[in-house]
This record gives sequence, structure tokens and C-alpha cells, in this order.
Amino acid sequence: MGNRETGPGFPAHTKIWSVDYGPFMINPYFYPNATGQVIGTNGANQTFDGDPDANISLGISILRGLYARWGNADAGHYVGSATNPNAQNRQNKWNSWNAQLTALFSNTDCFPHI
Amino acid sequence: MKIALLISQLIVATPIPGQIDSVCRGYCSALTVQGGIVRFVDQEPGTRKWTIGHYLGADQRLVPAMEAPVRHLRSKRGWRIVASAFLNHDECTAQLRLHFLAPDGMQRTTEDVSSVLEQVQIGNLFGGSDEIFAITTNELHVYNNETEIWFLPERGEPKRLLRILGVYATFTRIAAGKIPGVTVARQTYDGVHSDTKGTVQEFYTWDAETKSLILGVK
Repeated sequence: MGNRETGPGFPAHTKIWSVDYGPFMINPYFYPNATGQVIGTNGANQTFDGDPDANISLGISILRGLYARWGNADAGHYVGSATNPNAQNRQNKWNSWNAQLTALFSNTDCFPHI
Repeated sequence: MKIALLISQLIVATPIPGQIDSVCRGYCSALTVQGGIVRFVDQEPGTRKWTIGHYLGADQRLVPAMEAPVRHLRSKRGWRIVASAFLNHDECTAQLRLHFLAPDGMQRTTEDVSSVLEQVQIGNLFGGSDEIFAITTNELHVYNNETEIWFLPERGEPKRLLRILGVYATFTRIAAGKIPGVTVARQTYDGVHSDTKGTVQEFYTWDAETKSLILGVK
């Protein structure tokens, strides 16, 4: 997904300046250590051709950093600052599923590697 | 857990080169000015860092010392808008603060927006004599771009006409057979479901009588 993409209404003269890549939608403009297989070689609006494991691994490290700072408010802060509607929606979704997801991923029968 | 939280809040920040402001929560973040470039830097390895813009040293007198001016626009009528980077301590992130300076030089209002400036315009964007200011900014992800459009009056306070997630695309000036207004590409993502990602084109009509933007064509 790329900014200034050629979607409806986007000015034709502008250029893509940032792109979200892969399963974690990591944007290297804001996370400059996202390189190589984390983002692959395709650009905006192209099929992701990087390594999903690498993308998810960096995403997890970002989430760990956010958790160190925000605790259970990290879901929203992954998306944006607290006044951002997208971030508020993500945080609300996490809040409503927190107990169920924590129980699920704490189940060592299902996730023995934990 | 409480002890860990206390320890994290007592972290003594190691100054980042060029930092003009910093905040520590879990780890430290800073706003820096170095080599004429304003940046946001997380001190934790592997986390966030981005360029905000070129530092406008001559405009530092117009904003507080903890802010770093990166853009200065002036309208024909004399409105000046200075965009300065600052550190939002509550959110541990950088933002832009728009300072609206009236033709008499007095600051009339400020507005905080996201830290990365995508596009900005000032002028008689709908034709006629009404002065309009438009800005699109972004943070962290493509779908977070946000547009604000303001009316800059001859006298009095500036008025925010529109604030949406998305970008402004084209302004239409008043002319025979043309309705003045602005086309925007509004982001449709709901922040949760990936199948809602995308944009939809919308047109806002400029009503010069009420100085307002109305969704759709009159």
C-alpha cells in the first residue's frame, strides 16, 4: 500500500514517498531499519515479494518496543497516536478481545513453544 | 510490574546529538536539529526515526524554543502560517504545530497535525478573493494521511473548513459552468479490517456566502 498511489482522486503529478509493506504493513520511511527481505523488492500496490517471516519478526520487535512503553495501549500506538481515529479503532478492538486473545495465546497445549 | 514501570520512568536520558527536546517513557525519544535537518528519533534500536524537514532558523523567533520551524507560507493578504515540529510528550512522538499569524503579525490560533508534511497550498484556491490554506500530513502508515482545509478571513479568526483522513487532490476555481470546490481522496480504512483499506473520491462544494465546504454538488 503506497502513499500518493494512483487511486481515484490522487494528483497525477505527485510521487510515492512512502509504502506499507507485508503482513505487518511496515513503512520503512518511519522504520528505516526495515530493509531487505522485510520489505522485498516490489513497490507500492504490488504483491509483497519479501519474506513474511522477516516482516513479521520485525513487526514483533516493534510491538515489543511499544509494549515496553505503552503496555496494553500498544495496539493503538502501532497504528498511530491516540487522537488518530484508526488508532482508536484498533485499540478499542484490542480492548474488547484482550481477555480472549490472552487466554488463547497463553494456552501451551495450542502453543507449546511459548 | 509497578517497580519495572517506575524504573522505566526514571531512565536518565543520554542526550541524542542535536536534540532540542526529549521524552522518556520505557525508552527515550527526541526531536533533533542537526545539519539543518529536523528529525524525530527513538533511542531504542530498531524503532522509529524519520525526517520532518529542513530547519528554518530565521523563523525560530516566531515559535517557542522547544519547537523547530520547517515551513513558512505567506498569503497575498499577509496571513503567515509557520509549521514547526514539536515533541508531543504524552504520545512520545513528533507532530507539527501550525501557527496562524494574521496580517497584523499577531498569532490568532494554532493547530496540531501529524509530523510528516505531504502537501500544502495557500491562496485563492476556489477563485475569487477568499484565501484558503490546505495541508495534508501523515504518521506511521500510508492510511493515516489527514487533510485540513482552512479559510483565512480579511479580519478575525481563521476557520477550519474540513478535517478528514485522506488527501486533497484538485481545487476547482469559480468560473462559468464550474462549481468551486475541492476533490479529496478519503481513506476508507477502519483501523481494524484490512478489506476496508482504500480510498473513495469525494467533492466538497465551496459556499462563498457561508464560507463553508459542503459534501457533494449543490
